[in-house]
Amino acid sequence: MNISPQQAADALRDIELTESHSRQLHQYQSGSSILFLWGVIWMIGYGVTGYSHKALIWIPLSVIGMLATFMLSRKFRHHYTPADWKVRGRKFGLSWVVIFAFISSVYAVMQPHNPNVFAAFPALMVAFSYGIAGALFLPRYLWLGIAVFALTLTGFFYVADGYNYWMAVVGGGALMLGGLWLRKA
Amino acid sequence: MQPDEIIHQTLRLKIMSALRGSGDAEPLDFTRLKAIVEATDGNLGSHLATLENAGYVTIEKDFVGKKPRTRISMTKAGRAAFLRHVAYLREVLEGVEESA
Repeated sequence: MNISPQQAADALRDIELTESHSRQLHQYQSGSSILFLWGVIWMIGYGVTGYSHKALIWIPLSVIGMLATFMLSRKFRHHYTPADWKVRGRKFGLSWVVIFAFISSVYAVMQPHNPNVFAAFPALMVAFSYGIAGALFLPRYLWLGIAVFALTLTGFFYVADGYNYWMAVVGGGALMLGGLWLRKA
Repeated sequence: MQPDEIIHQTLRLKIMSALRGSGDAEPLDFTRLKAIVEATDGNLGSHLATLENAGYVTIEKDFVGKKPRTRISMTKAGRAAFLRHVAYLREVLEGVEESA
């Protein structure tokens, strides 16, 4: 069997396209459970904050969310060697520290007096992250980012009094629906 | 280095690429695989049988509730054969680039 250079080039292009399409669908599948999980966390977190006017619930919820996200992302483990996976675990932990440090620093510098600002800012951060991930790698995340931006800002400007409840039901619900949408990809 | 005649057929090459893309050992649902490689049920089934006979993939059939499910995974031998074939294809291309 002889394969010409043109046939080899065509075959390599087919391999590249099919592999990347398959990898993208696999990433959507794995991301869907994580998105659904954070939808539930938002519902609980914003719901409890709206009811009690205390935001301390976010500390245990964030820790649970972070640990659960790491466990769910173990689906990707077979893509890496055990040593690489350890490094990824450390980077994952470090990136959460950076996120918390960034959000806390912004609060410390801006010193918002409106509690809705405290509630809106992490959601806008999430929308920003999804938007960037979608623009660079996985297009469906761009739409998720746009949806979270739009819902967060709509609630902030038009539903001021029940903002936490808005974010619990509409924001959390949007993430859960987004998770199901990714699963269908 | 020689090409792998089983893998080189267009649809079988796509099947192996799709399995590799979803993470080698991770089983891929028949329906999802069909959508990725854009094949009909019959065509996909017959090419999967060829790959299974060569020991390149395993096909598991079970039920989720009352719904039948077919999942396909790449074997270690399949992964090795696929990587050898890709290396061969690159060699063919590099040979042309070097002589040019």
